[in-house]
Amino acid sequence: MIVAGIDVGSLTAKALIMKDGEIIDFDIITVRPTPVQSAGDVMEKALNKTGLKMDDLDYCVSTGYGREQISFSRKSISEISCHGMGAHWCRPSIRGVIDIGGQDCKAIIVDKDGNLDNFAMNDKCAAGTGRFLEIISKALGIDLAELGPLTFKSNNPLKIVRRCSVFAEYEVIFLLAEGKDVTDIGAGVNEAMAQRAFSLASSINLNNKLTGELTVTGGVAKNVGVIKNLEKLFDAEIVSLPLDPQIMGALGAALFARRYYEKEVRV
Amino acid sequence: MKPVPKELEGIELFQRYLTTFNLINIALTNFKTVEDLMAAAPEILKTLPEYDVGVFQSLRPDIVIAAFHPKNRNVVLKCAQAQIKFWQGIIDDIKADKPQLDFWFAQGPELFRALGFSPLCTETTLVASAIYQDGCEDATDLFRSKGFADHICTANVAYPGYVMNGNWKVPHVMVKPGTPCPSSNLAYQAIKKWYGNDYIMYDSTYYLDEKGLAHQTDAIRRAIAKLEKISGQKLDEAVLRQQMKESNQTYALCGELLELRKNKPNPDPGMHRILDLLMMVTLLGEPSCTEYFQLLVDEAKERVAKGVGAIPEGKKEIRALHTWALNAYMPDLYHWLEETYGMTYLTCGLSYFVNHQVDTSSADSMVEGWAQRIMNFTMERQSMSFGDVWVDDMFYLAKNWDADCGIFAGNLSCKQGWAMSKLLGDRLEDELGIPSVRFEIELCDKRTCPPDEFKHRIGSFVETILTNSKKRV
Amino acid sequence: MAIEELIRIGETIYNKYIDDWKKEGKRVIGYTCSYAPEEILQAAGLLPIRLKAIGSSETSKADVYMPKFHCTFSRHLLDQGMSNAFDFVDGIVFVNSCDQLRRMYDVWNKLVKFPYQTIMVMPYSYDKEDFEWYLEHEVKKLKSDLETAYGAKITDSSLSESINIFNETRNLQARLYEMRGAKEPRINGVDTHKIITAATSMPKKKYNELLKASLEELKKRPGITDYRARILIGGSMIDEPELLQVIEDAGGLVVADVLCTGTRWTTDKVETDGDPLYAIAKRYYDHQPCPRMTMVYERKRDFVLDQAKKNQVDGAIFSKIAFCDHHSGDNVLYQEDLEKEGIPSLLLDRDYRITDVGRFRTRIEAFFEKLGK
Repeated sequence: MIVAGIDVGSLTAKALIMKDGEIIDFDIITVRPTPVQSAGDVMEKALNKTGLKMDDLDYCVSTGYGREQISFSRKSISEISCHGMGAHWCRPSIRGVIDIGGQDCKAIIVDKDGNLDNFAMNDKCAAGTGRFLEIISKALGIDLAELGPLTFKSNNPLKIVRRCSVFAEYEVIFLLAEGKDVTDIGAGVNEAMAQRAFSLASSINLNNKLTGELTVTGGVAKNVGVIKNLEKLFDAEIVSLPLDPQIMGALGAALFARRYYEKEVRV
Repeated sequence: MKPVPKELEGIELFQRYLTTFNLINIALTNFKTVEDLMAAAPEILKTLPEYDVGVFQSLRPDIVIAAFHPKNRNVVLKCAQAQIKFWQGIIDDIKADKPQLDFWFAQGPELFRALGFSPLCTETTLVASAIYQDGCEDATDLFRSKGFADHICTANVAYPGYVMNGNWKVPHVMVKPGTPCPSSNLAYQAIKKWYGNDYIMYDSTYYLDEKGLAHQTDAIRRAIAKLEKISGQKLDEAVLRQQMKESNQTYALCGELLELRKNKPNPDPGMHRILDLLMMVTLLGEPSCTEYFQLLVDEAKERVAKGVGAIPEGKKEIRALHTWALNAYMPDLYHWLEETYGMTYLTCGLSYFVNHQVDTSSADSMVEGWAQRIMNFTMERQSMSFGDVWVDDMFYLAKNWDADCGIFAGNLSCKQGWAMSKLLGDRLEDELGIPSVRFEIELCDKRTCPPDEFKHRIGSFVETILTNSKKRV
Repeated sequence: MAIEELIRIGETIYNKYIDDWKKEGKRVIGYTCSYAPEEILQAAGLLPIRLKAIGSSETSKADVYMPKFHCTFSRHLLDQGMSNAFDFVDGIVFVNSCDQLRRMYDVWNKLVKFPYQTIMVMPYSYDKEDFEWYLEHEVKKLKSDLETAYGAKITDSSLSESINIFNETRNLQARLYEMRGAKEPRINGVDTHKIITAATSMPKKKYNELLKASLEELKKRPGITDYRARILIGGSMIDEPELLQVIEDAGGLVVADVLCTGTRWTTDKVETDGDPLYAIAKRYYDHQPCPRMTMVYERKRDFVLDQAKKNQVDGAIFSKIAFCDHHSGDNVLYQEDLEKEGIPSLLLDRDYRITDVGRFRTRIEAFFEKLGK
């Protein structure tokens, strides 16, 4: 049985192919003008390496923003369910997933089978998303990748209290004008970011009803400072995944594809 | 939010206030300057119980420094001493299981005392916001964590948070007028749903005329009948008379104080406005409240006689009219503005008490007088009714108290107040040539803007008006 | 077809029915809240139209006066008012629905002038004396003000006629809701919402005829069976059913609502015996309440639970317009109580208009997946 999962996000598109329950390939590309193009290109890229053709796929499930438009996928599932399912497959003891992407922040609880139990997702505001870190690192004049390690260099992280990212930017500029140290401000920003994700997770009691392991996915998972602060807030280890966290959505979609194939096609 | 120790269940916040005012009393009675206090602090702290040390360390340093200033200290001390008795009384009443009544702030407590309750204003959470470094944000967040929006007024949502966490005992009954505001209404609704206590809301009038007064009085009469059933006690006319006679004296002094602020320079320090409000909602009807305002009036008169004001001598005065929202956000801000820029505080929508003397000849006349006071209570008057009332009141104050500028630090969550600020600003500008500025902050949540940054922003505004004043004389 | 006609009218603020009315030389009056007693407006010979900011895409004019954290419905409405979108009406009746709408009126009153505009005050409490005050000072005053402003005479018989027409509207709408809530609904939530909304955009008499015909047409339709989940919606008022569209595009079916622009308007009828003005006042005062009425939480909750059970919903979606305090207060509590009955809810924050459909769709689909649908 060969199944595929495809995840078209706002910045990247990912495809993952599974054969008999094992991952045989996955690929990530930056998005093309339309979700349909992105999906076609990334799937083609992934298939090429394996020598498979589109017709060889028994079932394909799509997720992400462009998920309904992809003609070769037979079903679409929300990225919330897919992220949970994917992370759970990587580490079956996982029950909590925090996904912090460029535009969204999601807190996800899955059951012992990886099915969605509860979730929360931020409203429109950019506070608590990767976008927030981008804005702030720009204001600090440092590279986004440099931001995370500041948590470990600072002895005195400053409190960034504003929740709105626009106002937080003012606040950071004000701190810089006051002559405060970039390291301490950066460490404070990581702390503030973690606090926001923690608040969202608390709204579905992920903080006090966690029955297994907790992981963080999405671009912000690469920020070691945010992860460190989240561990402190949850008073729990944030486990890392054996696979690129970015691929979790496509992996989850492929797992759903396998499930639907078994349910609908193979009798 | 920190769990409440068993022995403080239901009274933790009140115990914290009691300890705070005790510490203020000790500090101001024994030390001349804040430096003296800090020098002696390490030794004193060794002698204090751990709880008290924690409370001491949680105080915002700026407010302690401001309290020690010669122009502020007597009044702060007077207030603290009265508050010690008040909070001890609340704790005693709770321990004795006296019928507890929590009320929304724009009502005097006199009537509730005459009905046999131990009345407690739910907006006294403002004290925590004003005094402690961590404010009351933890309680606000606890309530919000249930899913309530973050745009509900922070002066109203710390209360349910404290109740949920056990820092504040669930009252027997909660009482409030219908308007304002959505925030307090929904907070009370949630508490009633979760804890099953009584919740009495009487309608508030939309009209500030004779018919409006009749409706308001009638609504309060009906509330009284319901409250009598809950407390099991009839309205005690003698107690009410004694309370209203006392509050008449307080209101007369409020009126006098307001008039005194017309003097130039304004002789009344701005930091006291939060204390005025606190005294009114906790102790109105008691002699200590009158004594407090008497001291304010005496000190102001003394300054007028000497030709000095609440600002350093020789400094040019800038007279500021405030709307609301700054009192609890950072009371010491006013002290800082006086000292740094010579900017005085004329009045604001949370301290504008109009002198209304109640006819104490009968129970009926007293209830009607109480109703009239509610209709005109600070903020209630401006926010329960047409927007014009708000604009006209503020305009009247700006004109007759000769304001140089208007500062609207609008409480983000107070939509009804904010919605009028542009029209008010335009009117001050067009008719009086007075500039005004709007700051977006949240009354009891310093996360909307850190105090230092706020000072920086308000400072920039003051500097612009110092150089660009086009006020029409 | 009558159904298509009503659906179309439900998407308009101005249409040929209003145009025809005006061509006969008759007047139109706008109102902003379901607490405005429409029957009295109609009895004065006026055509009551609920003001909607349909098609409004920005609020820049209103934003000069209203802060950005003021409810977006109020801001869109003010913006449309300032943009002359409502110039076809001859007067407006506002209500002190909430702090945001009543202050919008205060600002409106300075900026947008109609020959007659007023705000009606609805008490917050339920004593019989509060009702008497409302009848005496608000309802009777409205009647005499309308008579003065429009030179009309509002008689008991014109009121009774108006009551009968409106009650018929509510009866017919109740039948429409029954069809929507059936095991195999004949109509989806989006179309139902538009048909209900049409009632506030045209003369009720004509509306009743079209709705009666629509119900006959619906009887011939096959039932809808291919849906994922039966959903109840609640929360802030909805004019354009964008949210319902997202729910139904994701495979759900909206089979019940507790909206003031929906079931809560339809449910309570005016008593037909006794003094008609009294009966109208009573109906508006006592009808299934808005979240602003915080003294009667149990009554509001029971209504939500009843609607959920009666229509056999799988889940509930409560949305609130950003910065709406009242609905924030109720949605959370309803969620708690529905959860106890085993009905999960999803709470969403939205603007008056929904623009970022994708983000809503993600949450709504995830909600269906959580329901196991």
